[in-house]
Amino acid sequence: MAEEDDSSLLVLLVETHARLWSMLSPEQSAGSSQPPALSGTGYLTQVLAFVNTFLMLNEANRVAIFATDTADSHLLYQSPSLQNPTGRKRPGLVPASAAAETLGHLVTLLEQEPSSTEPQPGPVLSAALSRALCFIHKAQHGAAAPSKDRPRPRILCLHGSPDEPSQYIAIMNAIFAAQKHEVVIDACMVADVDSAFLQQAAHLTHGVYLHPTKRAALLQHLLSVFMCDTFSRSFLRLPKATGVDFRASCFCHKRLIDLGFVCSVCLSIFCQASSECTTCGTSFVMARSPASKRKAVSPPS
Amino acid sequence: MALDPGADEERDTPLLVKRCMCMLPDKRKVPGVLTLSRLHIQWLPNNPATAQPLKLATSSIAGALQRAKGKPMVRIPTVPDAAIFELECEADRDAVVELLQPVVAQVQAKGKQVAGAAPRLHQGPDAARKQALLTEHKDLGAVYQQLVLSGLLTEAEFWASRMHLLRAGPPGGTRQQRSGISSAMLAAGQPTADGRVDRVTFQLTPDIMRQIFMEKPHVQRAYQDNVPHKLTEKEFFQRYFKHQLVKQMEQRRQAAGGAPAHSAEDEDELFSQRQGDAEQLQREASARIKRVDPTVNVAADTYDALGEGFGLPGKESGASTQQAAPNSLFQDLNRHGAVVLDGAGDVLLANQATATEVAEAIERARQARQASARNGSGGASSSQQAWQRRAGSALEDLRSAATGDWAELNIKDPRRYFDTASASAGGTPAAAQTPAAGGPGGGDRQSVLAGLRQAEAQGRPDPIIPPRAAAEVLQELSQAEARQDELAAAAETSLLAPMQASLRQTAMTCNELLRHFWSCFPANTAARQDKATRLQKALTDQYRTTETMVGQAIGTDRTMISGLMRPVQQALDAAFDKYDGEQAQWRASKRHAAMPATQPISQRPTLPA
Repeated sequence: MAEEDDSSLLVLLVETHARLWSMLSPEQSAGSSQPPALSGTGYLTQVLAFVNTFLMLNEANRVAIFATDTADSHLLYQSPSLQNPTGRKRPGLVPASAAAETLGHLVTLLEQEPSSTEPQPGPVLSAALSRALCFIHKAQHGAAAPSKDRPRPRILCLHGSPDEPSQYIAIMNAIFAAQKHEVVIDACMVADVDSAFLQQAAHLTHGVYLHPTKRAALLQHLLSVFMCDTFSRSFLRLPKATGVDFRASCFCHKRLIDLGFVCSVCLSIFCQASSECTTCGTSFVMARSPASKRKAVSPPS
Repeated sequence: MALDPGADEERDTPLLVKRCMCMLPDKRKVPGVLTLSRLHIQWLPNNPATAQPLKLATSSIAGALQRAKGKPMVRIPTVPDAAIFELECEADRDAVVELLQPVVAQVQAKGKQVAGAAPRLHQGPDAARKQALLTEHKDLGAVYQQLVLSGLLTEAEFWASRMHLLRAGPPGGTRQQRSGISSAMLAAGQPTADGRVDRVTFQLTPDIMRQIFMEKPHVQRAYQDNVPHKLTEKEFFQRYFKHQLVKQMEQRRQAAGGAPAHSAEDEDELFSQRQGDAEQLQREASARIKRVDPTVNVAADTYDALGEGFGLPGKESGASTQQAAPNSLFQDLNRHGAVVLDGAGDVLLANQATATEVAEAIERARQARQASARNGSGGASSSQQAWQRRAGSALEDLRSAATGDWAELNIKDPRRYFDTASASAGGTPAAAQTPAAGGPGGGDRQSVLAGLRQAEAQGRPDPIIPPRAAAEVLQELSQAEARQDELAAAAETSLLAPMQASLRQTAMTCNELLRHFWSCFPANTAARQDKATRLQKALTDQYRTTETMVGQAIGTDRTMISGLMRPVQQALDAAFDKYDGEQAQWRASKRHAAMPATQPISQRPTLPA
């Protein structure tokens, strides 16, 4: 590999929420040759194949994999050089064990997960994003290499569950932090639903939001769209977002709203007009509109 | 969304059809048929070979219709020249005139209105800037022309969303610079003498007056106390300069080593500094010292006081009198420096011509400064903190511009904020939307685990994805890309330039209208509802325009135009949906408001079903 090639530091957020398995198609028997849809096992094995390919593409590529769960995000794998940034680089090290190591951790994780029938809260995407950002920050600043030689950071969210409006603020904060640190957030939806939050994340950080139609061949989508580094993307015709769902969720009830009220001081979003901002305490003195004055003066007609 | 595509056609339906002769410019009379509609006057010759058909727009009628006496003729004055028709009888002629008269009146009234409205354009302080923007940005001008001049939007509404353009100021940057004061001190108040006559002349300009009053508050006070009831302005300044002259000569004599010829009658008591003056100056000085950044306040406290031995060969005798003279000079110098540095305040920017005005303005400024100093004394600690922060880093202008300031997240009442958040987070709608874990038809964790174990033991399936599926994906990705760019590129090459321009214009108009439409929500006042209704009607017209554009095009142009206009139409549809939904709500709320029992039933507004 030539030295001047751009390398990437990819943080992969793989959703392993219990609800996701039910949204994907049931497992196929080994004999059937044509999978009609993406199954849970297919999803994970294809992601692992993508990781292996990614690591083999460029020797300097780094990867960290987090599993996003109900309450936590678990580190499944990180490239050896990320663990020991100051250690000497061993040229020609084949990272073939990455997929195997990840698979082992995944199995352990799924075994440990308590199986409960009661409905659980959605995956903590906000926490996973924050953790990924912290991880990237640590890796970038701990690295001995000068800043121009450091791998370009990027987060790829493989997500299937619908948005949790309660995580809106945290996710937006993570997006803004990523924007500030020039971390690209990509998103690939593996189930039927679209995610407004991830659309906004990709839009704001100049990433790619992909909701593939033929999800059975997820690996091909991943290889075609998310494999190359962020610099090379400018030469490629990547799928453009047809539109971004810019809806926000209100701070008061965490509802997804398209029209709302915004505090003029702290820009908090509310679904109902109120006399006081619950975030910053600003009281809104409502000037009486001419219409209401008229109403007050003249008898109701 | 119910559209009425026939509105224009309706206006163009024939209202009256009469047999008539048309007088051609060469005085020939050609028989034909006259057809009148609201928009057009059309005449067709019976024999197409005899004359050209005539079609006039009613809007082109330039004056009143003229009837001929005794003959069934009518002259219709249009812009290039008049059309003269001879009908079969006077009754027919009168019918034509009666029909046309209101249309003509309407057209003329509209013309007057437009002519009257033109000078009222661009009101307010930014009028020139607005005009410049409209001429500079052609697109903006076109949208303005279409929406504001046609009365769809008001001037204020149009500019409300473009305040940033107005605020940016003219590109040339004619911002007025703060004017300062001349730092030349000694030139002011220097006498000129021609040497022949024993007379010295002082030149006095408003600037010099201002300088005197600002640097010598006691002179200003004397002026305000004595002018005009005791002295005239001229007398006052004569006395002042005489006093100055005496003082200067005294100083010169002292410098030459002469004995001080100081006597009571030489000193004009009018200009003597009072006891309080020095203290007042001292107070002001110490207040200023407090306002000065302590990090650069190098020995500011030493102020004017100059001890012995500052380049002054101190003589044992008369040291006290000698010291007084330089001290007063240094005081004057410092005072002058302070005044120049303070600059001419905003109050002094206006040109005050007379000494009285100058004196009053200075007095006002001084009082304002004192008031603000009194108010600002409480904030000393915060400014101290700011100085310390600044001193901790570097001098401000040596640093690059701050890239981003971190604002502290200040939640006023955390308990209340987080309580509402957690209370509402309990019943997340997302949880209800999705099927429960392990529901029918879906896989579950156990099967995934089994699949993974199998993969761990036996290796992953080979191939991981079927090649055919992969090929399909590749094809889809590349084709989708091609399709997206194809349309725009093809449209650019194959559509005619005027067509492109009109499409662009329509799209821009729609965007502008939509922006105003959406800003009407939440429509909680009657005014907003009215505006939304008004804009919805305008949007309906635009929708019709896009449909006609698509409808009129043929062949490949049609697909291209429809493809280009689709986003606009989708946006319009979204607006119409919103409007319909809102309208239902307004009706419901109106019905609700109309319900109270106090209201007489007869007065209840009739509601559309």
